[in-house]
Amino acid sequence: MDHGAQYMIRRQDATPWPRTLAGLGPIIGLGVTFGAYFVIRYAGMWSEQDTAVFINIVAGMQEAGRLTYPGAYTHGYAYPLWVTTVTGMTGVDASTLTQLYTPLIGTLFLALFSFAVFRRLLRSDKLGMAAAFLLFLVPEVVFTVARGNHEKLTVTLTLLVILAFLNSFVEGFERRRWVPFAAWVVVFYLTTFTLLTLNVLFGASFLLASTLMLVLAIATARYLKAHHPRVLKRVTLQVLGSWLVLALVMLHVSPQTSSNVALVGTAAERLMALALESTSPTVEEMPAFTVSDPYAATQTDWASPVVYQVLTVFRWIVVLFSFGTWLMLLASSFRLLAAIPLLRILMLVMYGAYGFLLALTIPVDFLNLAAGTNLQVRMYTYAVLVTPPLIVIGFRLVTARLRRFLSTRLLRTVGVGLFAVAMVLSLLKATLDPTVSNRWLFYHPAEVQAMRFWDMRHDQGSMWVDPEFRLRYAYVMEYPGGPLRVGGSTFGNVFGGGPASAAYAHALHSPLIESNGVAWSRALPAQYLENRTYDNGYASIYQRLPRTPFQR
Amino acid sequence: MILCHVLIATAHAGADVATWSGTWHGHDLRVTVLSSERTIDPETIEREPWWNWGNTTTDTYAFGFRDDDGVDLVIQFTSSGDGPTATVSVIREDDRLAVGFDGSGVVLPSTVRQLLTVRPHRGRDAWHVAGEVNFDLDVHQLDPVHRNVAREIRVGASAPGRPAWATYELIDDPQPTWGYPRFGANVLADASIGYDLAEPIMPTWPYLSIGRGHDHYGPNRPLFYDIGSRRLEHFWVGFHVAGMYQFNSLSFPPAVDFESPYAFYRFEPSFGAYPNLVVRSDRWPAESPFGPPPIGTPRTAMRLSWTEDEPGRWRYSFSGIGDQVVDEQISVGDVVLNAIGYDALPSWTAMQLWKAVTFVEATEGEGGSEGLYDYSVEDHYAISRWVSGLADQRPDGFEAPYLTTQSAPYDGSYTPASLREGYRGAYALAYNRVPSLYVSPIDQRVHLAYADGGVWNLGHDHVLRTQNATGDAYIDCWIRERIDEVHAPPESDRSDPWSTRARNGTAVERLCVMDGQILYVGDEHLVIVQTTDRHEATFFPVPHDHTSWRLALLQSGGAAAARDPWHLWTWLDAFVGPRWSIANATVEAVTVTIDGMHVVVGAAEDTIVAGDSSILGHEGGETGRYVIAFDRRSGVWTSEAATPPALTVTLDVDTVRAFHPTTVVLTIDNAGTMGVAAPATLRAGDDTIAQWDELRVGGAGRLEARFAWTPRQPGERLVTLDYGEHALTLGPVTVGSTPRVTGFAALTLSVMGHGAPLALIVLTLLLVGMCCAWIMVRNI
Repeated sequence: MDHGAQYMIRRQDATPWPRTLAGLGPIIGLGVTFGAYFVIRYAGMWSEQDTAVFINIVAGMQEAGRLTYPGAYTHGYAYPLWVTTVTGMTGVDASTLTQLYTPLIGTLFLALFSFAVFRRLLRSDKLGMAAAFLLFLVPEVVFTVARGNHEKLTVTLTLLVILAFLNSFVEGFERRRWVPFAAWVVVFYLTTFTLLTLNVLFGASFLLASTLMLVLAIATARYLKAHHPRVLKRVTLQVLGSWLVLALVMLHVSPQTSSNVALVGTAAERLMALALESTSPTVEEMPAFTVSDPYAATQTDWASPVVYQVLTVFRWIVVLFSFGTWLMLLASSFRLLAAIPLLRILMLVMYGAYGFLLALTIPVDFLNLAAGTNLQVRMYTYAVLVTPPLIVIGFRLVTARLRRFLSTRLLRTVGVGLFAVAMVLSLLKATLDPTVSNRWLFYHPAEVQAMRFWDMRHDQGSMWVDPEFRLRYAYVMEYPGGPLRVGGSTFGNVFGGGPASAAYAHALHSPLIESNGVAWSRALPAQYLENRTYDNGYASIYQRLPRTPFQR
Repeated sequence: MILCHVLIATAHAGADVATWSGTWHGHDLRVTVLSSERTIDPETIEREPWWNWGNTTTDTYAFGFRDDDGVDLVIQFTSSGDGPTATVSVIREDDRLAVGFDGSGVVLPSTVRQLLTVRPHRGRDAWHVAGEVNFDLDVHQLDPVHRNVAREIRVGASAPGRPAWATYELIDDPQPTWGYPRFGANVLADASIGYDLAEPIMPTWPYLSIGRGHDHYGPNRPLFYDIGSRRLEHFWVGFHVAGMYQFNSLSFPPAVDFESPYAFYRFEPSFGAYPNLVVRSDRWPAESPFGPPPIGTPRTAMRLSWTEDEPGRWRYSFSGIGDQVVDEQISVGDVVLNAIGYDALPSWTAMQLWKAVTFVEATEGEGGSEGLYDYSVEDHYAISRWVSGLADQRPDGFEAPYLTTQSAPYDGSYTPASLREGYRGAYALAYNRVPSLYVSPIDQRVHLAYADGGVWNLGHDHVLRTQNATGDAYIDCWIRERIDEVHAPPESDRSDPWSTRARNGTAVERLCVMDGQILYVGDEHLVIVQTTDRHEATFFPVPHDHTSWRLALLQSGGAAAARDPWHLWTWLDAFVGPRWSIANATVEAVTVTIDGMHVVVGAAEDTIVAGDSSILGHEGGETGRYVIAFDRRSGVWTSEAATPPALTVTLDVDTVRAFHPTTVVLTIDNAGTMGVAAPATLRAGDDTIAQWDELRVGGAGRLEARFAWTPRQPGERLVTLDYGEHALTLGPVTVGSTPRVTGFAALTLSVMGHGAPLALIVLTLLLVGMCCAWIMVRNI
């Protein structure tokens, strides 16, 4: 008996949605635990780049009272609108909401939606739950849904759109229940619309994946028509419908998102240039841009290369194990064409499509686009959403073999132990814990207090605050619209960071800044040798001795 | 075709059109009069001038200023219960022939170039009052070419026939964050200056005159149509002429900014409309966003330019920058704004404590209406940053300005750092005093007291640089330099548009004066003159009223015999006293400091020594190199053999840890009598601790420099000083290590402290326990 067939025989019928809290308890507990740790770890005093940027975007929207305004987020309006709505309804300000509450919402959504998708794909609550637990062991996913940007919604709603996509097939083709079918189709399009208004690039990841699925479906039309009549038509309709929704969003609902077309165009041009350069290195003018190094951060952002390898080992397990399982299932699928259920085909095809998209992002990260050089990290988060079911299937196959040699108790103990270790590693990496990371998320309130004191008493001054961006992001969380003026005025105070420079009139000092500077191997500012003009017991401000008659 | 036009005039039965053509003061003129309510009587046409064919309440006048049927300007008069209204439309060049008359009204193109509506202010109902021109008007200006920008203009009169003021205010500001004029005002502030109305083209509506080019110093032209540029200008009160008190602000009142105010003064009645003094502001009240940084504080720069006896020729200029707050309020018509009043403005400007100042002489004078912009602190981003304390380095544009030619076009992008040929500038960048001037007995020219130095662009790549080495009120040194640095500006760099800046010059000759001692150094030639004359002089204020202007004229007139900047050695003839000279000798390393003067002289066999040997205490001129120095404390000249620099270098370093800054003190003692000046680099291993383009240590002198060093790697470093050709080893320094915080200590770093690891353990156990329980219950 081959492995695929074994799995098929062991698969269970679809179970109804757990009706009791006890049934959902572990899933809710999973989401709450990870979200709670993210909040508790730094007592809610954390920030990072996207979170700070979106706090400013939300502040801009609240100030403008409009969806579009100068400096608005050009990739989609829905996240700042959502935060604005929630803050308006609850009275909780955006920073508090982002730091204390939305990490929990993100992880809870992730747990519930992933469980819903995985139990549908695996046709088992137990396996679905195991797959959901596995997803939380991927720290990149936990970090993405916990931090304060649109991705807590784009990631979780991508799961919902996958669920709606799958359920529409199940209801329409397997159960032939047309009312639920229609309901899921409506959910599918509404969710697609919401995703695209959240972020037209990442929100479209499922749209791109489903388009690739359609291409594969057309390539295997003969097979599909033989075993799953009308599926090709259904997939075609949903994909075309999704593209229409995209056109509606870009042309009418949120025209500013159409600027992303230029970004895609630039990426395509640069990809061509890279390809040409690799094939004809004598072409001197290619490429007409600086090639970026997306992996530079792996050498600088972590306590050491070894620590980074340890933290990312689970990533490789996920990739290799799921890919191996995918290959195995794919091979068995070709051998057992008639017996393959539709959902399994969809699962395999989705994995292939997301894998292709992820592979595509690797060269894009070398193109030095304005959108950043971490596209593969960002896309990995979406691609990894479809891997846990395959890992669970593979794991089941492996443990089935191991049970011949090892006791179930031992396997459980080892499994739980490995889970505990992987969970701790996931939490450490997801929170960028100072034990493993140099890019710290947290701050001390006294540091921000010192920055505020300075900001209120200077006009177009400059103060060095930390070796990277930690405190600049922190300040925005406490005082949105502060000196991190994203796309804003060139006037005002400047909080500087990075390499210390004698050009700064002031420099902030705290034990955290000092420790972080050493972690980054950065020289601390020479201003620490000069006048200490402020001290709140934890943070101090040093001022350069006046160099001119006009400096005070 | 009909759809492309807008019918402006209302059609009335019996409307009539009559055309007159001829010339007016040499200009072709064709006037079409359209009476909308009546027929124009042929007898009227026969007997009356064309302006009497219609009226100025309901009729239309179309003017063409070429010998064809085209129309350039249309004035449509309408009337309502509030009185008459005149709508002036300037027709675009392309539409000249598109203006039509269809018997019921004038047909204008759909868009015009300019549109102006004039009506008597409420309470007035005519263009004339008591036989005089009514200057109590409401004007609405629309500029269709520039995005339909509209302004409300209010003109007020002190008496019929004499306007007193006009205010201009932007309405419906299209881009509140962009910097463009929003408010303006022109006030006829000097009652002693008359208002002579130019001959109007249409006496029944006396505001409009025409011509080619507007002579602002001629008769007043409230509305002027320039036939050449095809633009309608409106200067209801006057513009940039004597007696004007103007405002040009990017912000609305009362916190007006930029050129608020801009005032013109006449002290000499024979100057007519030409001013003797102009005061221009470059003023940005606190929070005005359109000026240079920092916006939170007031940024006030002012300039006073004045003439000598020749009308229209600006000769001198003073500019100062500071952070003066202007909270006085004045009224212009109904508008209240913050500004110094017209009468007080010059003295206010001249009596302020300015942070940085410049003084300029246009040695040949300069025309124009606005005074001298060269070398000013106005509109200068870098000087604003400097006096606000935002910059560590002095702006170098004054010490090394761009050297341009007289014919160089005006371009605001370089003005503050440029000095045209024939212009002489002086600067003081840490002034903090009330400005005053003096005439130096050395060069017989007007100077700024307490200046740091200055530059005179002599042309032909030569400058005369002045220096104040002693820090007192007077210039001590005049150095004629040849500027060898001629470089092509990069095409993309508009900030460096000229090929020559006054820097890196070669001294051709030099004359320095200190405590009655005059040192002249020329080509292989050195002269010392001991004179009892003092080079100090009497101060006089920057001209700000008739008396001070006259005084300045008197003083500068005394400098009529100013000395030739191309031949400094001829200046020596004016000074009497013992003299010693040496010729055919090498003269190098001239150093003038607050302590004295110092020259290294190399004498050879053919060196000629002459003069009073008592100055040096011996004959001097022995073969070899020796140092001639004047010590201000002792007041005597000395001469001793020149010994090469003999340096002793020591380094004092505190405890050093990686990543942490530490203080390094470098001391260099020079036992030689000759100084040394060379590039230097202080290194610790691979780290560069400090670098100098030129590190100067005087003969028998000492230098102590203190700086910070932050090493990044622990370990032992060898500290070296590369000083010119010398490579000096100063010894090893041990840098201690600073380990990264790790492990449990790192886990407790945040404000959670020990709560963080506890939370990690508890939550992990909780979730794992939950999993175990679930596995057991579900029996997986």
